[in-house]
Amino acid sequence: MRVFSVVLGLWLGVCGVIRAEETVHDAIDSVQPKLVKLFGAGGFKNLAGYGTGYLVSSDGHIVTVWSHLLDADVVTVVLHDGRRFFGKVVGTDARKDVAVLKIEAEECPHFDLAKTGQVGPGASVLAYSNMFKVASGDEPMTVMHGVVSAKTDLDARRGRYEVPYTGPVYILDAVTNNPGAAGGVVTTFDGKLLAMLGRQVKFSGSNTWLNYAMPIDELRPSIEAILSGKSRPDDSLTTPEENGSDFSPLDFGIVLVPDVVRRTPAYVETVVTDSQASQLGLEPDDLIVFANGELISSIRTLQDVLKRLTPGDDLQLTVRRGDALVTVTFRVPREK
Amino acid sequence: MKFICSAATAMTAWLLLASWGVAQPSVVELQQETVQQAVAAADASVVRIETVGGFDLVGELLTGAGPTTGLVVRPDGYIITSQFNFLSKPSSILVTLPDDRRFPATIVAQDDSRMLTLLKIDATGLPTLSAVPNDEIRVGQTAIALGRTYALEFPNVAVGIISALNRVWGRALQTDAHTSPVNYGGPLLDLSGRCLGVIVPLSPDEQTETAGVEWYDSGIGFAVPLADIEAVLDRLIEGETLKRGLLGGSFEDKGVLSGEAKLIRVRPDSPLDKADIQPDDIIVGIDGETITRVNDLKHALGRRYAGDDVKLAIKRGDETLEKQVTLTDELKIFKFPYLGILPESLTPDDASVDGVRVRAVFPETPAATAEIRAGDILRKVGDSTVANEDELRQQLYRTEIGQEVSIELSRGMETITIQCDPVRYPDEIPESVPSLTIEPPDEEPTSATGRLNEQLPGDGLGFWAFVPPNYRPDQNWGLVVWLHPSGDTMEARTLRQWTDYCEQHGLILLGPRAGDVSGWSLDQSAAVVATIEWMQERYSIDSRRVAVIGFEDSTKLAAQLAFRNRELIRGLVLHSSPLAVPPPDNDPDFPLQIVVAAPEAGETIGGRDRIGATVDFLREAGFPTARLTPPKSDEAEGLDDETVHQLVLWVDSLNRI
Repeated sequence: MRVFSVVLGLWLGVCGVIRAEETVHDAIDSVQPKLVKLFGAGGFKNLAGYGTGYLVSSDGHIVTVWSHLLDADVVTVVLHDGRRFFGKVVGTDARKDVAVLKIEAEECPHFDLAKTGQVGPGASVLAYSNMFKVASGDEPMTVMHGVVSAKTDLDARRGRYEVPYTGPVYILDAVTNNPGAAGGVVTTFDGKLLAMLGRQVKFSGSNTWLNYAMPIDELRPSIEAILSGKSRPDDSLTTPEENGSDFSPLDFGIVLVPDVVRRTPAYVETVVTDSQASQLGLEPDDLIVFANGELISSIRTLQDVLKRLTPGDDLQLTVRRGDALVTVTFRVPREK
Repeated sequence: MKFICSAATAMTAWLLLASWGVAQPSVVELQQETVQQAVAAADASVVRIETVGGFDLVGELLTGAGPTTGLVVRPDGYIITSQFNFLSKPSSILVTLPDDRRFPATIVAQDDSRMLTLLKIDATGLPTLSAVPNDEIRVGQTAIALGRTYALEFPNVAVGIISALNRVWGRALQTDAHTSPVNYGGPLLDLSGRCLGVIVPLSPDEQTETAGVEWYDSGIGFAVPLADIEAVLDRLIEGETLKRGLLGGSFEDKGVLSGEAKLIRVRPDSPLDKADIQPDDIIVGIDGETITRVNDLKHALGRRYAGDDVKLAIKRGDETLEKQVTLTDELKIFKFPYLGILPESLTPDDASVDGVRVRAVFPETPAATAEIRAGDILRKVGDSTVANEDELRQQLYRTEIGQEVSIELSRGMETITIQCDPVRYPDEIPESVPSLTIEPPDEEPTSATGRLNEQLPGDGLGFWAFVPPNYRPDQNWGLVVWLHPSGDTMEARTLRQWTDYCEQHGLILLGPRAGDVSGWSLDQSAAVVATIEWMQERYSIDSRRVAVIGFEDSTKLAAQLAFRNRELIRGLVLHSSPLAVPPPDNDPDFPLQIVVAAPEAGETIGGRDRIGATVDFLREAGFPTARLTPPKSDEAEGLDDETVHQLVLWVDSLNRI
């Protein structure tokens, strides 16, 4: 009887796995026709002249990443069935790193932007793209599997990522960071649209390539604004410079040690008498390790934080004094 | 364990239901849920590590400022992590717990064998993970790699399987879950949230601090089993630095396909020497474990540390002995003994001389004092016959400097036995080396001579070479590899300076081209090795006289080539640049001689005599190291004529004994 139940269990198990695999096959089959291959400008200096996009309307609107690829007069769009179209950029949003193209086609299979999903770290996902332009005609896209490694904010520490997009992203444990992958999609195993694959960028915290994707929920307002004609093409590929007020440590009464190497630690050399720093009890040899929650790995990172302050804000500094951490809160002066 | 059972039960239950056609979570959903529960279970033990200050570059690797990850191993604030996270030698280390509390951390101890660092923070009541016992870990089981680098609120996750056990000489588990600086120092979990190991970059071939990082996110990752860490945790908490354990012997068989562990040499004062274990003994067991190959022994030693006592089973003739030895972390540096003779360099298949014929005897050496003469044939060292120069070297290197050896030689019809006191191998280049008169061969050689220009297929390098017109395959030729500096191959000049010497001293020139004006990158060493091997396949190259010349910015690649290809390269020239990569241990089986050439100190940059320091350092490490002081030239124009002359003498006498 026991033998029988083991055999039955195995048989049922196999059935279950096969059934689950069928669901995945069906999901992939439904996603593939909604993806397009893009061919445009590039092809020199390690810039790929190809990319990936996905259809979001039945009359041929395609979303992709706003990149050099679209700098060409015409962008060639190849559908899943091999049909070729010329795509025209109808709108972009540099802040969200999205561009919308339009092709003259009808009854296109497409993603419904209103039906997207959200997942957390550890979720199993599939990533689709035409990385390395393996496909060129009616061949399907490359599908990779992986898990969502983290959900994090690309904005968390400015200057750490060389990406125009700032906002929440999914980090994947699949290596999607390849030429041509940008503009591809990430879905759940049952085919629900989650995110758009991002550019090839390095994570400066570890100097490793970053496999990130931007959640559709973050992009939807921009895409919908472009689709409804409320947004115009944006000529600039760069985000506007931030207007900082340019505070320096001295504005708080702190004199740091000389900045000699790239990563000079932010040690306090002296504290100006009767300044905020002296009132708050800062001491020479204190090492500033956090400013407003951000790690201060060097004098330069501290300067970056100070530059972004606005008069009237709070500035919270954590210093290491011997083996203790001490936190003090400054008031950013009204003027320099 | 309970968790696994319940997961298994749940899976069976839903599979049963699924088979009845009821909508149920898929295998994918179940896996996802299990992974997320395991991560949640381990979450509180995974901490974020941040560093302040430190260098940007470690070797060739640009280090990030973090954050990186650590794992709580004791509730009272002990955190284990990867040494990788402190490569930049930061001035301050900070730990953030998952509940947002921040602490300054101090380094308690290092495990230099498994590349781990133990940190301490002033906290109590921290949650730890239970370790999966080593004998429960199975290849193929799911492995979840965690870091706390992207978001503080929740660990970053990568999922894979255990790919292999006992990797990197028994030190680590291998996984295909993606590992990289974003999770080095973090735990590798099983599906129940227990800890399999701590993620570290490692390499089976190299022991440098950045070894293995180049494999990040590749599907080849390593983790040190937590059970192994727990076994030595008390020693680390006491502040003991753990190092790899060494025995101090060299084995007859080398390489990956090595055979039995038969000793050919025992270092003086080493653990083997102290236990009276001798050359020709075979190590057949360690602590009851059978050793049939040298690699078995390497595996067994990889798991042990310096200071550990081991019981060795030794086969000596027909006897089997038991010896207790204590592993050490440092061996006495090997210094080469020297007689002062230059053997005649014969091709490997030349069996015309049974022994070693002396081409020259250098003045004021033990050989000169003992009145050995050019033309003598050395036949015996001590009681051992020597059929060729390699055997002579092997026998001589078994003796110690200052220890008298008897040498039997033939002179004409006579057989003479003399006594010789080997001295330390000299650093200086001989003042003169008799040039050879090599007649061009009678028949046209099958290999091309003169200036060659070749391109290796595929991604291979292009290179030029010069084979002198008197080349003949029954003679053994030295090989000089010129690594040009960036921007200029200096081909014409090099060729002009060396041509005559090549003919007189039996040398072949090889000039690989970097293929890029910005010069060489370190990952081109395999490509350069391929050009050397190309020459070796086609010409009679004396394996004992292959030298590589690095000039200015190519010295880095030259040093790496020489240090990592010990069996291939026997001479290294560092011109106008100090040593940038640490040398390996001096190995009597692969002698390496070095020339450091740069204008006199004082004229060097920064006021520090880094050239002088390089020379002292290399000599200290046991490498015969000559110092040349070419005149300072205003423009980088290549080697000066006198340096070339010196290098010719040096290469031609690289095989002196």
